[in-house]
Amino acid sequence: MQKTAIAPAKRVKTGKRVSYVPLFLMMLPGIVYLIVNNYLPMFGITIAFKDLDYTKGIFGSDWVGLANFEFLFRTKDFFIMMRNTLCYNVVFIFGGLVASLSIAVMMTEIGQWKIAKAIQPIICFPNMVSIVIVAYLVYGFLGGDGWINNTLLHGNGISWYSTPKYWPFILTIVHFWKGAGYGSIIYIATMSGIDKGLYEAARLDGASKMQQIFKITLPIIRPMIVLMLLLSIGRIFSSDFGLFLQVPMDSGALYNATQTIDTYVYRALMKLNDVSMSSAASVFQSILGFLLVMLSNLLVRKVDPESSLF
Amino acid sequence: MKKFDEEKRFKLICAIIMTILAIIAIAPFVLMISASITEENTLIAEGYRFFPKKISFDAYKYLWAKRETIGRAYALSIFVTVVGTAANVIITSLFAYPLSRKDFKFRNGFAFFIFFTMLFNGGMTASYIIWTQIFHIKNSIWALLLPNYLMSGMNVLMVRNYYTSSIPQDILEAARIDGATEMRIYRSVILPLSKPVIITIAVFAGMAYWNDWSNAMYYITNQKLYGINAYLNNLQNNIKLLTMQSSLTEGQNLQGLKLPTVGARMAIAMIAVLPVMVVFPFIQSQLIKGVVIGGVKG
Amino acid sequence: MKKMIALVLTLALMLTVFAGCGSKAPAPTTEAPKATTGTETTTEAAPTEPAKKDPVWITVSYPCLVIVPSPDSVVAVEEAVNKHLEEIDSGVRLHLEAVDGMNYATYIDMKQIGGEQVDLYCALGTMADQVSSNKVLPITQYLDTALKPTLDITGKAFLGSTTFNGEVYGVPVYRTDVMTEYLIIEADVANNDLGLVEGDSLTMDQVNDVLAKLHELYPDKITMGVRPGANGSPNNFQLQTIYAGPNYFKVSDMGSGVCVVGDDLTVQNTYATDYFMQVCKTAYEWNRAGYVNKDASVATEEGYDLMKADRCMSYIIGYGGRDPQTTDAEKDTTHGKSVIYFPIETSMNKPSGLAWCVSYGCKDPEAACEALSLLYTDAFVLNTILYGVEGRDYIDTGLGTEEDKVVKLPDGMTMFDVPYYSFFTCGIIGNEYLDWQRPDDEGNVIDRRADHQKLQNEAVVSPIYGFTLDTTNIKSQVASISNVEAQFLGGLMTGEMDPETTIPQFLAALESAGINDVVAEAQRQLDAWVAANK
Repeated sequence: MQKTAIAPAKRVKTGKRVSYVPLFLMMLPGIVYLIVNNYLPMFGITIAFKDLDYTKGIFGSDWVGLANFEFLFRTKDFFIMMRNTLCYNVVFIFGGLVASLSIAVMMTEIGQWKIAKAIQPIICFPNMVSIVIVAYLVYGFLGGDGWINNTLLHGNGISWYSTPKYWPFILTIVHFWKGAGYGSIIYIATMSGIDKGLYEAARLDGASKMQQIFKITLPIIRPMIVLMLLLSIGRIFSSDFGLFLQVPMDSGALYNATQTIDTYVYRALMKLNDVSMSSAASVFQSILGFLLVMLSNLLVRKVDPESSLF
Repeated sequence: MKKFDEEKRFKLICAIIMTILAIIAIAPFVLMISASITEENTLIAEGYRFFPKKISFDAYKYLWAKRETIGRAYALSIFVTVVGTAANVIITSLFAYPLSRKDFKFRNGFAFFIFFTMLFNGGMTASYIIWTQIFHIKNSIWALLLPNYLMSGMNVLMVRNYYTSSIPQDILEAARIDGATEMRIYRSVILPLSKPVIITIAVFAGMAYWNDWSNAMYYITNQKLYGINAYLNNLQNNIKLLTMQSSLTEGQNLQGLKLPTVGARMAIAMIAVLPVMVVFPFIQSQLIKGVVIGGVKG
Repeated sequence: MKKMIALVLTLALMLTVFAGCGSKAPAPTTEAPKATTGTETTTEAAPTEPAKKDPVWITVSYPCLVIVPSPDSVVAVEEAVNKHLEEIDSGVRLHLEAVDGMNYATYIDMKQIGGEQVDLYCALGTMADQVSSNKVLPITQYLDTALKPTLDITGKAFLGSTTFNGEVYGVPVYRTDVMTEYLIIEADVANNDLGLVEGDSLTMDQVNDVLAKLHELYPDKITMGVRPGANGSPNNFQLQTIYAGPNYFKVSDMGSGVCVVGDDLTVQNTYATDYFMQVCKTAYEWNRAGYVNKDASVATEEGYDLMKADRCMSYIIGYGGRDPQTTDAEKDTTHGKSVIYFPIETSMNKPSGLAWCVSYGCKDPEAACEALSLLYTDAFVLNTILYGVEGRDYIDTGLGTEEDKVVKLPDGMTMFDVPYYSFFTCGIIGNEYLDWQRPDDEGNVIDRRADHQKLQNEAVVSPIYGFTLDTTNIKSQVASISNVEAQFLGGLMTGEMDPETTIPQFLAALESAGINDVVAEAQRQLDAWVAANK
């Protein structure tokens, strides 16, 4: 690959126009992979609009229009799950951003200290524990005979698992506990690419630490922030299934506070196991997410073309 | 002078906050370890404690009896993670470079090409058909390496962003004027300068490979090709079944081991993350080191 | 998430399956060996020289629990089976595929849609769905030929649950499907404090008295341990299975929130019946009285684990057949103390939800049916699949007969050491009454198969025995109802919610989810079924 790249690249020196050939060659493995792994299977999206018949195969099965989507909209559950999915995600996205950025700033600040070497990996650990285990640990804290009820509240316990009002907070805490440290890695990486000379100069000009953060650090990593925001907006209609189903121990009483689109689909199809319907749900989530990102990206392009996704 | 005091104070506050956060992050792990060595009945009777009242290593004994299988699964997982991550990093960073070039006309087109795959997918059924019918990866090591994790759109876009914002364009310009080929620029300018982001995506990709058990579930029927997480996942389900119907397990066959359920769950979780916890600090210290190098070069 | 659903489905079904496993009734040996050969069909196909006709290879994909034998070890098992088939001059040869039970449904589904070869497989309780998406082939035409030996044993009514629109699509597993619910109490407590002895059975009134007494005597302990629901099903006290039994409300549940009560063939909304009110009221009383664990609806510990940890005094559990535990010693290890199982109520007889089907891609359905029939009639084929190769994976103790052996693992070996072990597949495949027996720790062989078949034969038969609700036309209603159930059932069945106020809310939610459509559709199908079967 290197050898092929050499010949056309020579032209760069002479002509003004850049030859795209070496660039395409560099992208080739990635493009091939995306085609094989992502684009070829796209035909599967049609399953959402079909009544699957194995003898006819996916292509030969009959079209049924939007019939597979119907179960999503049947009851007033639709509003509950939409509300929950969106509200949690908005909190998770913006709260997560603030949390991860703060951690990244602080980590960068103490980067040269020995203690940072220990702290840095530790704050990422929670992300490695499977959500099922997290659910058991949470239950150990909150369960009827859990630590909080036994030790803190001395028996006048709260039944956490049947009181919905606490769960928006519990789920948010668990989410941040699990993800904030891990999410900060990319910002730490980006911040470490910033020229240290800039801070040196600012310091000489008498800029305070906060001013340095807001005037230097954040503007420089802005494109990365915008990218991460746009990407999470694309998934705003999806939810971490484990967090919403397993952490509340699948408790029906908490339904109002924990039901999201994904848990609804899971509970709906537990008995039916219908490929078309589950595929319809994910198409629904994708399309809405896609439209939102396109819109946001358009907005970003108007305000800050450098940061736009494409 | 006053300024430097403020600096120091700020650093100290950061250090304190981060230490507190680190304790919060690690506390449940301690709970997990302690639960995994608590005697089963004590655990059920008293719940989780940071300091177990009655210690028992039954859970680990049970796993130790399976050391051969676990060892093989570990080796396989390590191999898959290392190879997969290396390939992932190469493909991703190569792909991202042209996208970061402002003079590359199709950069937005390709960015969209990538972005689209992050939102839409054909579902498991379709992927299965493509991978097994066209590429025949079933029951081979390829099944663990190829589907889903070889490249992620998000990583490509992250690396692209890093290239655009953190690598000074004039260095690239200078290299180009010197007559360096694109490949050379990528290797000797881009790669060294982008160490922090490369480490980041290596961490992301590595974690994805290490934690994966769904590829094994779909494409592997021979359990000898199960990686550690696929194996442990399976083991855990089976322990559940075994304890639910202990009448079927023929007492003597369990070698007199009392099968710990809660403890085993925790022990299994420990075994699954242990290597990551050991390796992670080394990788992460590279990330922090990257700060220095980035600073000097910039 | 798809894979989660599949996993849950598999697990839930496997667990119901498991319950039946302890039970083995004697094989109807007279018919079996002769019928096995399937020569009738072979002769029909090639009347002149049946021996010359090449045997047809059929792939049998069966789920394995706990231990999944490696493909290498399966090869020898396959050889043993096929050598036997050659000896008895069968027209088929089997290709065996041992599949991890945890992934079974997904695995088979993927193979089918990917066009890979699947011939015989087990539809895990989702027959209607399999039929409506054409995953399975109708086998009605082979009932009198290839499947005759099987039907001679099971009878045709047995196929009701796999019959849709007049066509038969599969053969259910033949096993004891009658469950008995037991109240489990520590032996000393039962004998000394309650005056109960082994062999007593209890009515619900007596259960209430027992609980009150236990609570009075041991106020610090959980009187009644609620068991965690098996993935997806709500935690409960088994009250609904008890009250649905023949001595109480005699409810035949059709799933999806509808049922018939007693011998009346009017389909009802299950949750609007007196039966459901009774279940919830009892649960509520128990909860109010302080008998149960805190946070019962999300309980994570099994009753026997709680008992072993000295936290609870009793719990209720259902087992297929009678006396689920093989030895006293095992009861004791499970519970950490000597316990007694007091039967409360036996369920009605209904065919197993597990059926074996011929996949749509099968090239020779007749041969597949012949192979299927072997699993119900040929003890050697069935048991070789379960136990593996003689000498390597099991040894014959000589305590049984040549046809009906008593086998054990080779000396010094455990089920984890032998190359092939698939005993946990029992009750998921073929004819459970043909399974070979194993001696217990003391070397005794306790053969309960006769008892179990007796129990099965004497059990009260549901008036809609064999009817299966086909949800094809009411999918989205069923999906919504599942969600409503998930919201309310856990709380109601563990008594955390007051039935007087909660059930009306529950019913309103069900109505908006479309329960009336389901009732109407179920009634239509049931009427048609009754007409066809009378």
